[in-house]
Amino acid sequence: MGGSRPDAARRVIDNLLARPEFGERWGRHWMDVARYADTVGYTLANKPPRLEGSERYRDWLIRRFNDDLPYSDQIILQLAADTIDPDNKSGDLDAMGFLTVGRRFLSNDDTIDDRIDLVTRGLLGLTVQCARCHDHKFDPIPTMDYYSLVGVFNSSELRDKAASPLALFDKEKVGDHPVWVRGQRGNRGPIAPRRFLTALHGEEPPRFENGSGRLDLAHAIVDTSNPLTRRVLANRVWMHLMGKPFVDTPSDFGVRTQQPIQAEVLDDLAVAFAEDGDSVKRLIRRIAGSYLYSQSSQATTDAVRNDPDNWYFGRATRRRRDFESLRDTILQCAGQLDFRKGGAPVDIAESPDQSRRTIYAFIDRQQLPAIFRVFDVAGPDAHAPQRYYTTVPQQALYLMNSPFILKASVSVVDAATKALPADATNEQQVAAVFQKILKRSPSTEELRLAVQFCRSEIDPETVAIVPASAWAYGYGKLNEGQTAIDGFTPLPKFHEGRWGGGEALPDKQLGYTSLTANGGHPGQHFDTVRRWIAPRAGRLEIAYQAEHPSDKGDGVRMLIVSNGERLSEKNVQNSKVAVDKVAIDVQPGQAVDFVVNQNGSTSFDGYRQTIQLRLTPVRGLPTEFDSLADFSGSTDAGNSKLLTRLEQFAHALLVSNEFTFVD
Amino acid sequence: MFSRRDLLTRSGMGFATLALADLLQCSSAEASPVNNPLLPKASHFPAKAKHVIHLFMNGGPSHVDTFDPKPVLQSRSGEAIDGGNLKTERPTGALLGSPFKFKPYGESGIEVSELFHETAQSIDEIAVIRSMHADVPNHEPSLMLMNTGESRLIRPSVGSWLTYGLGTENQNLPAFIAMCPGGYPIKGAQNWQAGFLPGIYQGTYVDSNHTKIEKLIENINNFRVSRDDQRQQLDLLSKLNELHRESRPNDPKLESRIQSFELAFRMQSEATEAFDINREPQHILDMYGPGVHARQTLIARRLVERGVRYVQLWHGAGQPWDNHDDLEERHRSLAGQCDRAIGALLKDLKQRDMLKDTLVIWGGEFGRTPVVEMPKEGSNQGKMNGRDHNHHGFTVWMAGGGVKGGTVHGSTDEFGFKAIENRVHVHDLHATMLHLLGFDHKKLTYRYAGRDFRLTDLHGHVVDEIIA
Repeated sequence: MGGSRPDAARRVIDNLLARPEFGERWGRHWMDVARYADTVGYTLANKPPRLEGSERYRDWLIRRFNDDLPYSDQIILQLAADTIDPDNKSGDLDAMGFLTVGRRFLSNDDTIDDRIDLVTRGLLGLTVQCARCHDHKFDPIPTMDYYSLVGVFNSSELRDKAASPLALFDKEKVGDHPVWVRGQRGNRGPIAPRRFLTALHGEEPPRFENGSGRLDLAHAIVDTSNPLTRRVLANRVWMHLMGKPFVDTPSDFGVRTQQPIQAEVLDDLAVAFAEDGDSVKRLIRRIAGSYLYSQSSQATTDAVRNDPDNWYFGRATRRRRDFESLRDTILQCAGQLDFRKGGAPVDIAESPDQSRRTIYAFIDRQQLPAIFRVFDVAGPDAHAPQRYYTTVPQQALYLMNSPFILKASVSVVDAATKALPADATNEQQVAAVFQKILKRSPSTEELRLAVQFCRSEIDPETVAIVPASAWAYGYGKLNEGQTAIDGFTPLPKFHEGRWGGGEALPDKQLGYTSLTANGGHPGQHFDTVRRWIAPRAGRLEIAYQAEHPSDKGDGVRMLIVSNGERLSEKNVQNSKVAVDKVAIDVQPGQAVDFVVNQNGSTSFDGYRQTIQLRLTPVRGLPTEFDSLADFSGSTDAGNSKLLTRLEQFAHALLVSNEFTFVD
Repeated sequence: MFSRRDLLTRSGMGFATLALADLLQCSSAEASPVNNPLLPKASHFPAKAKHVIHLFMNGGPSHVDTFDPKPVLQSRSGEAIDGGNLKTERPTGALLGSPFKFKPYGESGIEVSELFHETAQSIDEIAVIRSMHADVPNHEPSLMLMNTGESRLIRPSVGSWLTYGLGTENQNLPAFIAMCPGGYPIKGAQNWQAGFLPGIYQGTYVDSNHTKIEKLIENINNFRVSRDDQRQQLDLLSKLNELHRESRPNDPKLESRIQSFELAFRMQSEATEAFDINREPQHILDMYGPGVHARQTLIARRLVERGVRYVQLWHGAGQPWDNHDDLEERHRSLAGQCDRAIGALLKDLKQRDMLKDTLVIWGGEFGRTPVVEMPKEGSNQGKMNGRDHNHHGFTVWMAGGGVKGGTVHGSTDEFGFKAIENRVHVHDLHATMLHLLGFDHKKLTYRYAGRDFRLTDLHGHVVDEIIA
């Protein structure tokens, strides 16, 4: 890495620390601590759930991690920027999103509880929340301490028209809060003075003097006499770099937590961190420059047997990439990664074309998309001490089939092979893809396997059918025997949810002839034809429900014709009709036409019709078609071009263990 | 500045000065990086129930119109209750007799209203708990209480706790599935949330209005690589991964990820098959009847048959059973949508010998008042034909999975307002459910934020009387 100079590793580390993506990576780690989301959670009727301005906090984190703002200053701004930058002149008021991007509970008591939990577990590694109803069972945290902090947050409020929608300000009237005995609202106990935790300051900590006390609280947390703040942070940074923390409950340093084997190393790091002016970048440089960090994950059987969980850090801990790193790296390999910074969150769950970094994903707290949970992204419901790393088939399903990965697989081949000559051999192509994705050449055996795979033919027969692609929307004329359509012609224009002759209705040539998702209107000279074309051979079962709603006019005639046969015919006038259990064998490319004829006059001939088809192919899986759900205004229904073998190979590399694990 | 010595001596708490912490082993297996946390696990003790189907009548069905007959309510309909009504969400008035007829069913002779005539055919399999009670008369907290055991704070749902405790028997299907036709119930995914448990224990939501598999299970189909090609692609992947692993022995994470692709490959066909009720014979389709409730109920049976641990069936988006007005018409319509399917489910499970290890639960987040709700501007304006929410007393029934059938447990007062005899709180229901599935509710815990949490928090008593 980085050439052969003796300081090569150090130079790589310095380069990475200086890149703007540093803040995106470490900002995201802090967003786990801060239970970041872009919505407030459940809201009562009609209140929009969007947490206004949430992205400003995310962008503040990125900026301040990049600036290497000392951690103590970060904490002070996150808790009390209203006292330092009340008009948001330097953008620091947005730091208070730390407190306010959490869930907004229906009860303010619970919102405060969440903030106390965030501050105490997140910054101090203390589970003060346990003292809401009774003195902490294990740690020296009396209920009084909890309500001291309630007093602080209960004296703070969001304000309309503030310089940042995320900022808290002191209330007009600030004051202490009584203990709610057993946590029950209204069950008054003694008044809890606003002050810091007794356990960290002896019996009688001084009272907070400034307004709500948030600023005093921040100062008490960052005070160098506080033994926890820097150790908790050093433990988190170590965890992210080394793959596991010293203290394996990173937000609980309480008495029930086992003393880590390397407590002294953690102490050293915490002290050095303070001596370095609370510089996170220096702490990272210190750890990343260490011998332990530079170790390989290779281990002898003995080493694994003696220390299976690697608590002694005798080797590097092999890690599955987290979701952000996995998705961003795939995009990067595919040449698609969008390097823009900051701004409004974007949907990544439903938009395979979205190529912004994952940190910019819209996080809907209430309906968190399954993909985030499946890949163990920190849940935004509460402060998250560390992520889980599970291996479940739903991850594999996404990596095998999602439109995102398929698109990336195609792009990565484009990017890898564009410099190759047109007559490049399979060997050259495979080697280029290897280089692009795994940054190395293939071994002889890998090359052999991959080339053999790429030389085989693809077999499209068993691909899943895109239902929308089987439909065509047109018009034509029933033949004399009423067994087929003469001159089927696609309707030329899709406008406002309707296929028709043009934007205007009636159209000059086609009149009212038109088709919508759930019905249509026949024309004077033409019948409407909703055509289904068999994508492959098999057995087709047909059903439809239809209605001619008007009590005027002469109704319509509905027919199903295919392969020169009339399968069904119904007259419908001011009535409903259902057709069921029509079944035929179809050949690939065979059309099944759902024809509607005006039956004499076109007046009042608007009709509704929804069709369900089920194709059981000779090979492959049964597929259901539904004229309503499949209806589309595009003639190119879905990006369904099949992957080539080379693209399939690239896909396999993108989901390989080598790509997914960091040694 | 502080010195290193300061740092160590000032640790009033924290690990550094506390040797007692060494006595306590503190590691959570579920945080281990290797695990597939859904592999089957043993319960605390052997149990009959292995699976749960929870029929959730969201909005709050009226117990006095379904499973809790009240002759006095009929005879005194229109009269005021002496001493006034219990407080519920909205103003209420005089007693409102049920418009529905009750009659005894089965050998047990338990009375059920005409609304659940088909369900009542299996009454001898059912334990009716007529003395349920909850904490408040509002939907949101009561939904949370029924589903997570906690009204306000974020906690794991019952299904998440059970999949955490038991894993699942079929890795090719999600362990915990919540189906709701047409959208979400109120509170949405919070009803099946994993809370502080790992995200994989969260229920998988399925909109059962859809019939296409790709709308039911995300990424189940591949439209750009054929199934046969994908098989060959995975064979190649597996060989490349093996080569990678040869030089990295002793790391089970690598092997378990290789396996996860094989599981996913099988999931594609197995999930498709499980959700496809067209594979059922005609007489079974006829038994469940037409409509979306029949379909989702039949799918539930197919899922449980294949080893899915917990299936929750919601009646519909929003809160369909919340009939503040037009109760007669609307309750008739709602019951008409699901009664036949529920009746069919119980018979079908029985005939397949699956009822013995499948716990079926029916109920809402609370019941409804025996007194009429007063008209209110903007809601049930001008109408006096509905009932308000009632958390003081309501009915939940259970069947199968070791439940003593043909029993009635507890009772409400003479009008059906408040549970009075053998009261069963929602925590007690949860304790009983866990017991039926082999868990001591006090011992199924998860360490989070410094505390061992449980589904029943500090509460809960097992209702022994309804256990066979």
